[in-house]
Amino acid sequence: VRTAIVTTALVACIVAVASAQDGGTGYNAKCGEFDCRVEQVRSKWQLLDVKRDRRTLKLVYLSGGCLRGDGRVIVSETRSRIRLAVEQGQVVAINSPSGEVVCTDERRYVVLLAALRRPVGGRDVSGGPRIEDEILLNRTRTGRRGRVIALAPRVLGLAANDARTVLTSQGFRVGASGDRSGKVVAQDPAPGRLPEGHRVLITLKTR
Amino acid sequence: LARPHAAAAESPQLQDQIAETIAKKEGRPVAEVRARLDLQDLLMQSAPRVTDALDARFGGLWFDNDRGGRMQVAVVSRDGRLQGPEVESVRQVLSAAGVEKSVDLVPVAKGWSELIEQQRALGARLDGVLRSGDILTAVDPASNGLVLEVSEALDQEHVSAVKRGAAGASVPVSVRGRSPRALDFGPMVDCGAQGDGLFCDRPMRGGQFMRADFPNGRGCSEGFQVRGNTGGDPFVLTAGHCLAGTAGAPPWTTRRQTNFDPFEIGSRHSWNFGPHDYGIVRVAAGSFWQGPPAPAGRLFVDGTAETTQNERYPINDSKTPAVGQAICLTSGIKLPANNRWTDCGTVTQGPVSVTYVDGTTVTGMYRSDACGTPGSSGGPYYKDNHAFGIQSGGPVDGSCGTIFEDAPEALSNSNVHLVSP
Repeated sequence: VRTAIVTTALVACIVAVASAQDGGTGYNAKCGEFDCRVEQVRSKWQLLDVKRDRRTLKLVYLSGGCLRGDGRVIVSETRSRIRLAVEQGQVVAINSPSGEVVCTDERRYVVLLAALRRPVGGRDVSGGPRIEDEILLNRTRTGRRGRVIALAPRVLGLAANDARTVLTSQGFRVGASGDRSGKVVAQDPAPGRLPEGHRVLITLKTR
Repeated sequence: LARPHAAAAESPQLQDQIAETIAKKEGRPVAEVRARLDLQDLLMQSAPRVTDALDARFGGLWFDNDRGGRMQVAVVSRDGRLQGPEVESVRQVLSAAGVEKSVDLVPVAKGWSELIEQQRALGARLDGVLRSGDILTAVDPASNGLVLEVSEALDQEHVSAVKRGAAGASVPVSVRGRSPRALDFGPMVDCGAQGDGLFCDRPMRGGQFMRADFPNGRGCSEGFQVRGNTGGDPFVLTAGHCLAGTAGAPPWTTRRQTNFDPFEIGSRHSWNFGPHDYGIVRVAAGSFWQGPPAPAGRLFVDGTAETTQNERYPINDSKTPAVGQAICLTSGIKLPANNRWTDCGTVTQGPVSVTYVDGTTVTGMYRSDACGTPGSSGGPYYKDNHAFGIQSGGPVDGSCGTIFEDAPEALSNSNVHLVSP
């Protein structure tokens, strides 16, 4: 009995010392040479493009500062909806001599691909938070005196509202014809081509 | 913590220049306009106290230039009467400043915060059209409502959407047609916002937001316009960590304010991130940003409680910061702390060594109690027309307090010098 009591007390001491050493903060990663705690946070993202196979979506998400840029996309699909979320690690505590979490102040834009089980097929793409405070550049070419010219993204297969979001977030105007509750079956200009007057026309057909 | 206050008066030379420009535009005598500007500068010193005194009853503030530039202060009032402790408090503020005879209190129905919220909601409802640059929304304190300017080139579908969006507001919205050119915002005003980003027409200047897109996309602020000590080539001084690790990224770009068209600046030239944090981007030969007019030794200063807006604030030389001195930062991304591109504070510590969360240790840095945000890296620190530093980082996102690189050190180590204003 005495041995059991001593052993239990020893284990309790070791646990208490370990806990005191990490300040109870639960360090779970390395930040350079220091232990640190990283928590998963939802990140702002925006849809950029639909790949040719129509079952891969290209996204960009915001990182930088205390965010680690190790984002992963969480996809949940139903027959009528595709829900996306991007999570990445954020450093919230560090076991450095000062214990102070300090981060650089740049914005990073990281591209991710979201693989779907089946083609988009006009299903609504939902989820957030979205990047809404800047015009994103996706496909571009360079013109005279370094002018950056945006080229049309691929929006084929997207629902009308999603196609509109993709295009306006890249600075294009949108013209639409056909069934507004349908999906994009054609676009003018074609993906990767230069839209005249920053305008992309989409043709919609019932899903 | 105490914040520095703006200089009481604008420089006489600049004031004369502004008066001449406005007088020409309005067809009024220069002396009359000059007197109006002086009065308005004086009145603006009381504006923050007036706003504070009215609190939720503040409905906006403007100048009536047809009546000698008198300040008009909108006061929320249910019955049209100007009564209550807030009104008395404002009267005391104005009286103490000796300006009560130059100010009118105007009863209104809606408060400023409701007007701002309604403008934000209108912008959200019309997001797509707003981004296209075909409409403009503005808060109009004089009418206690919003103004929606719509390009006459807008197609019927969008016009209908705009009208529906305006109808959803709980404050009066005055819809006005404008020629597409009138919404292009030419050189009358150099700088403007696209989202939270600050963009300026030529000459390229400090404080603008710049971006290198995918892959390895980065967004940072331009610090100071500089030239090489040997060849005299133009460069942009920014933070080193903005440039480190961007192999394969396309050239850095920034947008002009007119139409917000993006143009390449050029590629990274040299940088240091650990033990310092500075770097330079070459302004490519023949690029739009090379000019004319060529990049200038100037920067954008936003109007805040501590600063007067100046889109072409000149930078004459660089100095090492001193602990305790006042300092201002311009960020290319709006600062959440005050919803402006500029924030001022005090240098609190330095030189210091700091280890960032990626393990990089930077030395010879300075700390301030100003506020930064992701995207402010590289932004200029300045005061009294001296360059003091470039923004590097800060505490965990969302907190104020910054860490910045010493400007003379960054210039010397990059073998560049400041461009003259």
